[in-house]
Amino acid sequence: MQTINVNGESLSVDVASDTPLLWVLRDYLDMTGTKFGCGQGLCGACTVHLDGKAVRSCQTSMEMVAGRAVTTIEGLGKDTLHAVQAAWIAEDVPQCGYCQPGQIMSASAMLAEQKSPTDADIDKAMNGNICRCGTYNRIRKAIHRAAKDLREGVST
Amino acid sequence: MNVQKGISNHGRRRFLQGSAALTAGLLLELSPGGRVALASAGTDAATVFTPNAWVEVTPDNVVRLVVHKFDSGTGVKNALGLIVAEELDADWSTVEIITPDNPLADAYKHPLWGMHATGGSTSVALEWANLRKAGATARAMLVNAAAKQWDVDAASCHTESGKVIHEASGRSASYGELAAAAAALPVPEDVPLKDVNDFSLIGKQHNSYRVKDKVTGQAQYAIDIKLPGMLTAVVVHSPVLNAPVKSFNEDEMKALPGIHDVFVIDIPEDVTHFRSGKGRVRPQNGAIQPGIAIVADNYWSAQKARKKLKVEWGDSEFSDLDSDDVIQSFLERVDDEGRKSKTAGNAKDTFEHSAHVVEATYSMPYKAHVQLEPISMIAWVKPDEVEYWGGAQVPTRCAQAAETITGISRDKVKIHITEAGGSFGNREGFHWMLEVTYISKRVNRPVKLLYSREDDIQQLYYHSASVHKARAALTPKGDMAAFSLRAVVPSIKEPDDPGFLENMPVDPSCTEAMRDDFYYDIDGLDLAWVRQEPGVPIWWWRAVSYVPNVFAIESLVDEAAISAGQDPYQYRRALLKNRPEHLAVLDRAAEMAAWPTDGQADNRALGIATYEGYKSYIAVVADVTVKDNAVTINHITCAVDCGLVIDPSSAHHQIYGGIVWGISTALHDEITLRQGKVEQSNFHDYPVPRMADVPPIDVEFMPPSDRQPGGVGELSNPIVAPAIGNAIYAAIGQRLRSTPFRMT
Repeated sequence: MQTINVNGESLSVDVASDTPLLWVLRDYLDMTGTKFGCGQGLCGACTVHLDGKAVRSCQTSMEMVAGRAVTTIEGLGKDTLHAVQAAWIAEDVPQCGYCQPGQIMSASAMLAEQKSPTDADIDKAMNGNICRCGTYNRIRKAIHRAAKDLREGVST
Repeated sequence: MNVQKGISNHGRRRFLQGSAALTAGLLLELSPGGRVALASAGTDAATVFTPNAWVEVTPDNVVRLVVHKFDSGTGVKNALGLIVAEELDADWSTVEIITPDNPLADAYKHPLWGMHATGGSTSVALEWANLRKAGATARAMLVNAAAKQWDVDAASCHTESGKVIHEASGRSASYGELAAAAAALPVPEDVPLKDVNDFSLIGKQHNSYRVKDKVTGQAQYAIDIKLPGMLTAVVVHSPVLNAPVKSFNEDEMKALPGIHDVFVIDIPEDVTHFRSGKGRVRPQNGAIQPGIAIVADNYWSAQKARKKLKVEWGDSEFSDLDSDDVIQSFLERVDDEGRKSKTAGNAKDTFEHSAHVVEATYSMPYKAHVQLEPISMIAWVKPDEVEYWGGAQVPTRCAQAAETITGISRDKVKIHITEAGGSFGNREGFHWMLEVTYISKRVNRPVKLLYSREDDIQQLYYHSASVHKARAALTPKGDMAAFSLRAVVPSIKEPDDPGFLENMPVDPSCTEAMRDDFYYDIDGLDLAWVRQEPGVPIWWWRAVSYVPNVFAIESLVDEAAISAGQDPYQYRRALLKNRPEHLAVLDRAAEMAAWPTDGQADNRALGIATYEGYKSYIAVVADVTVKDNAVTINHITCAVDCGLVIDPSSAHHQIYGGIVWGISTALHDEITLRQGKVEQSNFHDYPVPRMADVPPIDVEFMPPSDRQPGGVGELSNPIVAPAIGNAIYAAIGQRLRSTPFRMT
């Protein structure tokens, strides 16, 4: 049995130690908001926060999460939306929506560090997240919007 | 008008996105984690108002609108829902959009294709009239119910946001309050529709349906669904197309942790034709790929076990197949007469007598879909019914798979259609349906079949490779007197509908823009499809044959213009002079991009391209820099006329997203096969555009017209590669005729 801290809760899971965090979340903890897109850390759909930093959960082992805090899309905002989520809604960002949890996790991790990201900063932070529907312009716009809301303390 | 009683009686099965689902009288709760559990009993069917297959109003004032078309991110849920809601005068903020209880009901058949399917950018255009009538009919009956109750003239009542109001007496009633009374009324045959100028929902800005679910991780895709007792399977196919299994380490595999069973997939060689009454056929091009099913407790266990699989594969007729040879085989046919898709005037004669012929050959490789959610499907084969959960873009395929594998007839097939993480044509496919049905039947449990990204790229279907030869005969003044095109591609329709070509020898799926839909007025035309069948599995893909056809047409028209010493934009203006709506779109794009009138700078230039498709018009200008053997797209400008725009945000999404898709085709998309093996496997060797790759893209819709809505989902991607190719030529004088564009 291992203990894993997810969204502020200590949870017990009984999994083989080489099970990637992605599948622990999806199949053992029934948290399917984190998505599978490639299994090789190439598409970003599986992005979660580990101690606040964006990581690809398909490349993250149970050993790596031991004693650290995992945040998933489910924990980012549920009753109250995170500024990024609110901005995503305001800009009507999603098409199919499948990549968006990963996009949001990458964006929110960046905004925790960078209060006024430039377009180049956004390119860099978000380049690991593929959107095959092509919502990049709206993602960019929503990030700028969320950054502004966070700077100005606008509540969601 | 038939009342769809099938919706409201017996069983009350319904799959509600993210809330509750009913099966055989039991209410199943779909929790955010995807588990389907049992909850408490349902509603009284008799008082629910269901005048047709699209509208449901419950006594507690829940208004549900059925969208029977598949939404894979195309926005069809919003678009079709808005059409019904508009005529119904529903309160859009509280309406629930649901998928049908029975996706195979007659009412939901595609009006042109005679099967149950979503695709071809046809949903809005072809359902427009029908859905308006459905909403208007329900509204009329609710008004009649109120008028009867209040003993007033129906004409003195009006509706607004889910209520019937009698202004004179100040009375009002919600649709819910009137549901039972309306349900008892006869369904009128003819009802008036709103004037388009009175629309309050259509054409206005809306969020996409349940956008909050998509940003909070609550939206449920096929890959997320779990059923009690469900197993997860993967299928290992041969790296070489169609090679059978000779032997594998069965005992070792079965003993691995979490593994339930491992066996060779044995799909029948011939399958039930999807059109009833047409018997069984042997499909071509990949509907049956041999393989080994690994059935496990969960995906990770299956994938871990997969690494221990030792298979001896047999021979395949594709062991020598090389995609370069495929292109070569197409090249050898470019001068064939072909099967004519459009002829006009005496093109042959014109070519013979023209002193100025411009001709060129263009090619495109195989391309993958790589929608972000890999293919998955759940099947549960029971003794006398089969149930499916997943992104069933073509519900008919579920029926077909069930009949083929189990013999259970299509009226015993239940389908729950989920959200889907993109499709672009991939989810119209078939062989995973056969596979998951087979596996579930074999293990006697619900089974989720999940394709890994590698499987999704290597083991499915592709957009066909193509070679096109285009020729233009110019007059001494440089005008285009005749145009000839040969599209050398395999039949796309035949694998989908075996026997189709017996009735229609010219495959319409290969000749888009090459039939009466050819969009330039030229006296002499000789457009033909040359059928060449390499055997590589191919299928539908975003914009299908518009992609290579428009690439060839728009590239050659550009080459002709330049050869005639004319400006490519002005040259096209002349060809569109009798098509004012199309011309207006071309002009607008040129205006937006500030098309230069006095030449272009070195290394940086604009290219223009335009076409008509899906009853819509589009023009794109690409601003490109070519330096140090690299192409940089600085800007894309786009003007669109798609008739009435239902949902502006969604329409913009489709055009913009299609342009990104088109950039991918121009610069990246390439599947290659060597010795029968697909070389690419994941996003490292099949790259797609990322945030940093996308230039500023301006999209403008022409001012609202009352022209019926045209398609937008596939409208923009075909026009991007030719616009970029034309810009590259203008920038450095080099004409690229093969995608993906590579500077040498």
